[in-house]
Formats: sequence, C-alpha cells, structure tokens
Amino acid sequence: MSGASLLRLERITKSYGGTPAVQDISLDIPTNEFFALLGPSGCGKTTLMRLIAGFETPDTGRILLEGIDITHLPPHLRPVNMMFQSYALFPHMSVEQNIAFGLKQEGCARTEIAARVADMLRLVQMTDLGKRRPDQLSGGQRQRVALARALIKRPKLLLLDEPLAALDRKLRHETQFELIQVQRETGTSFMVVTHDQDEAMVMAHRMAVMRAGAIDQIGSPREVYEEPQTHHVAGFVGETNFFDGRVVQYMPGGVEIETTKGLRLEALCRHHPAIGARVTISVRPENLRLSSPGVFSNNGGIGEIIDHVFREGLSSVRVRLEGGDVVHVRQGQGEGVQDWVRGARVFVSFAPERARALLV
Amino acid sequence: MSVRLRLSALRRWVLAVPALWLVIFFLAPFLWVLKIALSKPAVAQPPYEPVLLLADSWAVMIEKIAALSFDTFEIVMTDDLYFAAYLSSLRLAAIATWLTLLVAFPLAYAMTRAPKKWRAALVMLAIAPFWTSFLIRIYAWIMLLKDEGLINKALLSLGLIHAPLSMFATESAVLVGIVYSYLPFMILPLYNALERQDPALLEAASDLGATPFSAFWRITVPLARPGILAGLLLVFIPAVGEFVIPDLLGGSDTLMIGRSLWSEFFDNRDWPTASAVAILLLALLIVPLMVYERQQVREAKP
Repeated sequence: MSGASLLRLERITKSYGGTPAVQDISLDIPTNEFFALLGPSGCGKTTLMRLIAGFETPDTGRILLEGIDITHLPPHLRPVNMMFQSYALFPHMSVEQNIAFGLKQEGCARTEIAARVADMLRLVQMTDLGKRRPDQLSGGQRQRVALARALIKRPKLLLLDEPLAALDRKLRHETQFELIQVQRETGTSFMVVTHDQDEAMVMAHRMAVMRAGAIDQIGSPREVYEEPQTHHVAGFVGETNFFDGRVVQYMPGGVEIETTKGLRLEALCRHHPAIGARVTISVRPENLRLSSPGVFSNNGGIGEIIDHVFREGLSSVRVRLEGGDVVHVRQGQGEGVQDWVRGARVFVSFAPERARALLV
Repeated sequence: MSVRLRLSALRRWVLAVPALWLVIFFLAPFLWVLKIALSKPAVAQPPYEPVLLLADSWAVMIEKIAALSFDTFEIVMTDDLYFAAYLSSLRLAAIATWLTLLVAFPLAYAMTRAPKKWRAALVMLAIAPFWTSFLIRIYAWIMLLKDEGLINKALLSLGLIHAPLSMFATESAVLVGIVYSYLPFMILPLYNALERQDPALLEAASDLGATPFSAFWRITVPLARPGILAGLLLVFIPAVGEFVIPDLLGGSDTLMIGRSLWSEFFDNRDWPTASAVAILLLALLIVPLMVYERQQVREAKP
C-alpha cells in the first residue's frame, strides 16, 4: 500500500494578517497512499494544500518532496499537481487541449502528447468527448477532465481540493470508487481535502482530522473512528453519543466518571485526567445496547424509547434518558435484537472497552 | 414553429423601440445624405440641386432612379487625394488603436488585480476625463506639445535638450491625441473581460508548469479576446473618421478623411461630394464590424 516517504511537512505555520490559518503542522505522506485531510470549513486544510502546491509560502517550516526542499519553489516548478475544486478547466480549449496543457508546457513531442492524452482519456472514460469544450460537458465529465489534466504529467503527488463537492449525491458515490481505482492504477499518492467525513472514510488509507489550523489526529479511517483521541474527532468523524462528567476514580486502562445527570459510567481512557477533571465519554451508536430494565444494571441508565426507525438494514433507536439526554442506538437485525416499541422503558448500557473517555 | 414565431405584443414593442430609434436617427439621416450625394452641386441655399424629390410621382421617381448618376462617387473613388486620405486615415487609426491597446491592457490588468474595494473607484478614474470637455482636453495637449509648451520648457530647463522638440502639428501628436482620447473605450471592455476571468485558471496553468509569461499568453490573452476585439473596434472606428484631433494637433500635412470631409463641406461647399465621402467612409467601416460580428457568431457556436 505505501512505501518510502514522499512528502514531508516540517512544522509548517502560516497566518494571514495575524490570524493563524495553519499552526505548526508536521506530516509525512508515503508513496502510493490515498491520504485525506478532513475538517470543517476554515480549519486550514485548503491553506495546507495551497502551501504544498506552492500558491502560498509558509511563514515558518519546510516542505520536502522526496527529501528535496521545495518550500520556496514556485508552483510551475513543483512536481506536484492539483485538481481544483472549481476544476478550473480552460474554457477556450477543448477537452484534449486542456489535458495536453501540462505536457505542452514541458515541450513534449507532439506524438507523445497525443498518445498520453489518449491514455488519459481512456483512464477517465472520456475517449469520445476529446473534442468537446468544457461548457458542453456535464459536471461529472468536467470532473474527469480535471482529473486527467492533473494526472497527465505523472505527478508524484496529486492534490485534490474537494474533488466531489460539485457532484450530486449519486454521482459522488460512484466517483469515490473511481478515484480509488485511478489512485491504485497510477500509483500516485493522492491527497484529498474534504469536509465530508464519509468521503474520507470511504477513500482514504489514512486521514488527518484538522481543527483550527492544527491536526487533531492522524490514522486509518478505522483507527480514527474507533479510537478518537479528541472530543472534536469523535464528534466530526461518524456519529457518536457524548456523556459529559467528572472523573471519580481510575479503573484499569480507564476511568469512571459521574455524569452531570448523575450516572456512574466507565470507559477506556488514553489520557491521564486528574480526579475531578471534566471529561466526556464517547460511545458510537452501534456500541450501545438496549435491554429490559432489571437485566443489567451497570454502566448505563434507564430511559424511554422516543422513536424507532428501520433503515438500510439497521434499526435506529432514540432513547431519552432520565435527566433528559437523548442517545442514539443502532442495532443490527437478528439474534437477540428485540423490536422495541415507542414509549417502552429500557436500560441503555455499553461495555467500557467500547467507549472512550476524552478530555474536553 | 408558428407559435415561436408569433411574438407576444410586449416583445414586439420591446423590439420596435430600438428599431424605431435606428430608423429615425440612423436610416433617415443616412438616406438624406445619400440623396445629397446623388444630387448636383449648385450655387444655392442649400448648395445642391436635388435630383430626387418627394413630390415626384412614382413613375417619375422610378425614371429618375434609372437615370441616376453616381458621378460624385466616381470622383471620390478615382481622385488620388481622397484615396490617400482614406489610406492615411486607416493607417493612423490602426497605429493609434494598437498603441491604445498597448497602453490600456496593463492598466486594465492592474485594475482587475487591485483589491476589490478599490476597483469601482479605479473604473471611475478611468472615465473621469469625460467630465471635462473633449475640446478643452485637446487644447490642453496643444499647451503641452507646442514648441514653447510645458514639455519642451521642462526638458529645456533640465538641460536634457538644447532646442525645442517639434512635437506639435505632427502625426505623432495626432496619435497621442487619439490614444489619450479613446483610452477609456479600450480600458472598459478589457477590464470587463479580464475581471470575469477566474483567478483559479492562472493557478491551474501555473500548477501544470506554465511560467507566468506563458500563462499570460495562453490563458489571459485568449480569454480576453472578446474584450480586446470590442476595444479595438470602439477605438478604430471613430478614430478613422476623427476630425477634431487631426485638425487641432495635426500639421497641415496630416491627411485624414475627416478633414477632407470638412473642407469639402465648408470650404468648397460641395455637399454632394462631401456626402459621397461620408458614405464611402461608412462602407469602409462596415468591413471590420462584419468581421467582428462573424467572430462573435463563431465564438457562440459550439
């Protein structure tokens, strides 16, 4: 999947008019990796991408590509290409001319350009549309042209700025898998900037979750989902339930807290909060279980079913706990799963190893 | 088909207004000038003897049209002086138009690169000269360019020259006058074309390996082409027929068709010939307009 280090960011900082956009970010991207930069708008992910492409220069820090310092290299000299969010196709050129642009700048031979353009058109399944102008293409086709244009120079690293944002839902879903395939076929490292955690989860080998100019966590989608290290990551990636409280005692590998609503809950914890410190426990909906009151009595609370929806093979239940908090429980169908009726009283609980206590 | 062809009453009115405008202010005067061009000069008031009269019956009119003489057009087209004047007008207008483009492009480009909040003010500044009378501004150029003018005085007192440069009453002075006067007509369409360009296009070009120079020639300029063409026409067409600038800034040897027209009208009082000169000038200027029109159609086509 991945090999030697391709891109290295060393303590990159960039501010605009005194407002920091990117703060002290270090990052390593190996070759042949599909990497996602995930974060809400304004978190600095686009700035980070523009720094790598060379449209911005960092205030401090270094950018290395295959060990060579490219921090101050202008964009046209960097062996990195970018696919723009708006696609930025040249409106006065045909699809073929758009794709050929990068090679023409290199001064490639005409025959080689023609052959490589044809390869690219095949790669993005646009062979019949080479003569069209961008304004004669659909959104999905424009996206493919932009991808082909950015890939034709065989960059070591391809930056993709919100590559799917302009597509409709269905097309977005299909295109995700096409991007995965193109990445695998070309062996180019992809770095996708996105605010959509679904996209990052589906496509990326590894992802970085950003907030306020800094990286909160880097890991595989699974690690990030199952082992969120901050409150922000737990809330931003996937759905979760939070229980806020204060640490009352240490447990093996974790802590026990008393929630603001008076529940005693136990969860694993990677941090070392002081007794009495404020923490929050994050439990994914699929890690909460429902039972009739009285069967279990620890690590949970009593509540009342407020609605119950069956969707995509899963049953989705919302429960209002005593004290007013609403939690979301997701259950697969099958063994031991009861059909809960609205208004029923249930005991909602979770296994401590399936939950994480996070600092707030 | 018939449904689409049948225009609603409102749309018909909307189209009728500009059509009516053109008939009243362009077609009717044009036909009047044509009528004069087909008349014979005479010592009279007005100084021509009309051939076609509105009072004539249809039969007489048709007879007269059949017997019309195009003498005046023949004179204008065969006379070397007019030919030279047309040619010289086209040449001066063409040079001035290119110079205007060279001056206007960097200005328009800089305007689009200025912070957004300044741009409206910069556009106002570009058209600010229009707030002063055209004539006064041209007279001001005389003050600048003549032998004892400001420029010569300044250069002399700085010791850069020892005798005044003769700038006034030359072709160069006419070119300066035209470039100066028509600059806003070039800046505005260029600004409009450049401002609409997505800055991401230049970033994309640069990302794909284009130097700033190459990106400029392969992206900025081709995309600005409609604006460049519009600006060239807006400057070239009035510049060809320009009368005031060559008359005030040009020398006696500066030959331009506008001046020939003037002297034909007012010095020779030969209205038919002057009218023929004007109509031929119009015919000449329709050519670039048609080229432009075809360009536009071709661009709009997929």
